[in-house]
Amino acid sequence: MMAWAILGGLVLIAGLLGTILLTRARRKAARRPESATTLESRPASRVTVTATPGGSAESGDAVQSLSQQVGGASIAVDAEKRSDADEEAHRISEESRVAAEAEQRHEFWPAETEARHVIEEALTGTEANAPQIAEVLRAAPEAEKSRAANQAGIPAEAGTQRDFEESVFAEEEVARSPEESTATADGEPVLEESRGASDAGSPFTANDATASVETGARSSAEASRVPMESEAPNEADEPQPVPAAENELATGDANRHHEEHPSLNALDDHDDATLATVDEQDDAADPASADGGLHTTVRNSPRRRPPTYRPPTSGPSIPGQRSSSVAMLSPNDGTRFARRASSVALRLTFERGGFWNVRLLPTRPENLPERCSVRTGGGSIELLARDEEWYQDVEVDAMGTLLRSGFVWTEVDSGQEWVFAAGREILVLATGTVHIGFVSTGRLALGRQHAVLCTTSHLAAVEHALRQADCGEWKQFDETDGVPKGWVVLCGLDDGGRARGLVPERAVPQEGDALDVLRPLPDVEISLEGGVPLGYNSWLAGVPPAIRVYGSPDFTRKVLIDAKEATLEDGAYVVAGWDEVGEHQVWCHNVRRSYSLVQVQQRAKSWAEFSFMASDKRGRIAICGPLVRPVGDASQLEEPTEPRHRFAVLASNPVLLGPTPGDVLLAVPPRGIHAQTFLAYPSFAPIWALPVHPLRSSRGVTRVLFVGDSTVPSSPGPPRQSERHTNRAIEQWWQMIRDARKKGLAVEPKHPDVVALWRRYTDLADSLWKTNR
Amino acid sequence: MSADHLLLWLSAKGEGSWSQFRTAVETLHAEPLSTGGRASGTEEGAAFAANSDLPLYQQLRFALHQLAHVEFQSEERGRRWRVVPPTLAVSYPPRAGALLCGARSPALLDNLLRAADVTVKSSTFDGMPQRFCLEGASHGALVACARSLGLQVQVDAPVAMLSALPQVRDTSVWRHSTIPVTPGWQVHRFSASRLGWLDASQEEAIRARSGLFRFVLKHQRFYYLRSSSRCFRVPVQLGKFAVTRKRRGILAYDREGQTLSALAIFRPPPLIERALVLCSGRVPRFNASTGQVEYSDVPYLVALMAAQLLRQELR
Repeated sequence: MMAWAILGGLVLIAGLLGTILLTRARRKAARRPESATTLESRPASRVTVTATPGGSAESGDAVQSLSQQVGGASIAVDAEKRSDADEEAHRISEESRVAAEAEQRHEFWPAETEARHVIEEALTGTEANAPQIAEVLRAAPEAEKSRAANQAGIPAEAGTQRDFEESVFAEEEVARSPEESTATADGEPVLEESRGASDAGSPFTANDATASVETGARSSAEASRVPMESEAPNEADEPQPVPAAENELATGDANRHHEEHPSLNALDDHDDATLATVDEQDDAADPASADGGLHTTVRNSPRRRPPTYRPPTSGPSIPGQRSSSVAMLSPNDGTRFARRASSVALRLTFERGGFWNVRLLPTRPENLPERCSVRTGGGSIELLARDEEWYQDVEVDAMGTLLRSGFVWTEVDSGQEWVFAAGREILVLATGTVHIGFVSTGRLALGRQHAVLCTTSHLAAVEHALRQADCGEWKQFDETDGVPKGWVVLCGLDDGGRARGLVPERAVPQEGDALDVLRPLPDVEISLEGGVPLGYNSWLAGVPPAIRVYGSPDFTRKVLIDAKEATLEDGAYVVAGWDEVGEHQVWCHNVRRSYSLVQVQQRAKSWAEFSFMASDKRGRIAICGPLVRPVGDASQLEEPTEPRHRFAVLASNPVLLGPTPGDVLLAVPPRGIHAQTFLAYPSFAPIWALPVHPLRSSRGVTRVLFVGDSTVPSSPGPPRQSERHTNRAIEQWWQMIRDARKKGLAVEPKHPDVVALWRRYTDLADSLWKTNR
Repeated sequence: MSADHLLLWLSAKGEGSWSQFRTAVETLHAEPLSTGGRASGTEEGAAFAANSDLPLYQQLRFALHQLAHVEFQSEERGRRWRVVPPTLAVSYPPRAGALLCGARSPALLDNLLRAADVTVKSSTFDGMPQRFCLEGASHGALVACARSLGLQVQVDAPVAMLSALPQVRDTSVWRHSTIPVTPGWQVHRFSASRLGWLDASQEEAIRARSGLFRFVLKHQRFYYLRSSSRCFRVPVQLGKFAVTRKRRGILAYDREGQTLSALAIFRPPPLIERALVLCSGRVPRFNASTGQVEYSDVPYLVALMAAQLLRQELR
């Protein structure tokens, strides 16, 4: 009994305790029902419910309470999902806002705007819109054509020839618009976005208006994407995987950019983008570098291979002109930095012996020194400046292979790169540059002289294209003529064996292949050639430039100089007064150019370029060109104006005397010269020439020579340099005369007047001797 | 014509840097003096071109310097050029002839051609600007013409120049220097007997009591003359004559033709060469058959003075 009582007491206590615990739990749940995260983080197993036979009601409450708690957690999870969705919506709306702002900054045309929206959707992951993108891109050229026609004010359905002519008018306007629309979101201009749509509607060029639309769309895409990417690292602590679509887009951007920028620098971009994609993938794998992941034109390491060459799709480049470079973004802070890739031109010269010399001609970027060391693939070379824009040409081994494979040179100190694109198998070179010989250029131009360098595999196609362009006769030069192995030079020769370039005379429609570089465009160009150019469109009067006009003959029939119709003489245009001093203007078609002829005053100031000690040790003799002038001392070398008398001296009578006591000079022949006569430069006009030692000379042979005029002797003048020197010179003067008289030397010529004059000199010498005693 | 344009351009600019000169040579389309080994120009031009494998701008530089048109300053003085003021180099009386040197302009040439009392003859030779020779009724007429056109006058320029120049062995005008001791130089020693450069070592150049040494490193060339264990840096032409004993055969003179010849490897130093060139106003001609450089219209007195300055005998 006692035992049963104890057991019952224990059960009662346990029931009370369970009730208390359940009540507490219920109160806690009632106090914090919204704290789903807390419940979620607390494992359910920690809520221990002990079912007892007498406590079912309490346990049922506990189960209810537990299900309520789980339901609260579910609600909390839904709330979290809603919150994420809100954030996503906010992000999308933010992207739309940024894109809209970018759109406001840029003036897109309707077709481009549509394409941009579609591409933006594709950017945000809606891949289902791909067919729509293609449709918009297909429709774009028509919109581009009609817009170009509207800009030019002509109907779009004009005939072929008219289309072509009017497209030339419209070209400038059409070309300008993409330039205006190619600013990025940060306000920086996108370089070289100009030529893509410039030839829209022209049968002579590959119609690439699609690229123009893509350009506009891509700018917008860039505008919306870059802020996204720059914000992404801030949104998550963990590295975010790069969407495959973005990678593809980056590569696609680069490809399109590549097509629109025929220059080496555009190729740089392509290469940069490719490398950037690789870098980006590396960055994605490396959490530490993920937050620096700009995958635009960012390159932090030296280029490993040259970019691949793509032929130009638009107008000709000027031969020998330095192509502009593409600025790159700093990998660290996104700001622009000064490192730019430069190009290397090719130069062909026809040497004596009938050999071709092929050299590389690197451009000289700004701020690079006159001399620099450059790393190449197989070693290093030293570049020496030729002028402010070019380094001296470089001759390399295995040129044929190098031309095919391309190369990248890197300057050791600054990291400056020079790029020669790979895959070029047809190279056009032209004269008329600042270099002798042929220098690589973009394409054939009407009327200019060219040489074509191509691989042997392309020879037949190249010759066919040259015939189409009416390039006249040419000759093939191969490796036996100095051309790199596997390559052929096509160029003419004149009767004298000089290289005569191929001159295309017919414009040929473009076909969109690699041979387009051999199909001249009908460009009109006013060229001022020859003469003596003085810079700033000025030429030396008397040697004016020849005024030539290049381009399709249909457009170059009428040339005006100073508003007067010019005539063609010897291939150059002239008009009355075209070569007079002053400003002149030349006009042809829609092209205008001015020049001025100026006269330059000659400078008459001489200077001491060389100076040597005079043989008499009494000064220096300066030489400037053919001028030989005595100068007093070093301080007077710049102004050799001291009047002196050039005098031919007989070696037998080297002592010269003037009319004034003290006018005495012992003329010493130049060192090593033993001629019978030599020159002296006394500061007085010599009257007499005496032997060095009159008392020791032979009376029968030696004479006192009269070498001047009949100037009578005068009393001693003012001291010249110092009193002591003057006294000594005076003493020498009368001493020489007295010695000659004492020896009884005859005077020559023996004219009575000369003899009488000599007597007057001897009389003065005697009087001076007496005074001196 | 290209050399004419070059001189006109240089005259208009007055002075400038070496790179400007090089650019001007290329910009003014100065053609190579002879191409393809074919007779494209005069015989003199081909001979002149065959004389040197120097680049065109170097050939033109030497021609302009020899003809006293332009002074080119050395690297120590900044590698610049400066055009000499327009000058008439008048021959010594009684011959009344003159040569136009220095700066020129189309206006000056026009005035010269219209000047009274003088006759102007222009001649064209490859590798140099047009030569303008003036002839007058008298010596005074030439001088008066020069004064009226604002030209400077130098009477008997060859003799005057040779009279002012020191002999080739005059050490007072040599510049003291030291032999480079840094490694990497290619060293050669001039052999007067073999008339050529022989391989040598830096140690040999440092230890030598005499001799002419050439130090080459990439594009740099320096010439050091050792004399009595002292070291001087000298122009190569001067150095060659300084280490060569007096002997027959280096210089030759043809009295009838008034032609002074020198072995091609023994071209006279620049200023002596200028004096010889000013006798005719023509750059020297290379005779491929004899291997000699020939200076034409050189009077005997001038040839004798040049030989004495070079310490050589006239053959």
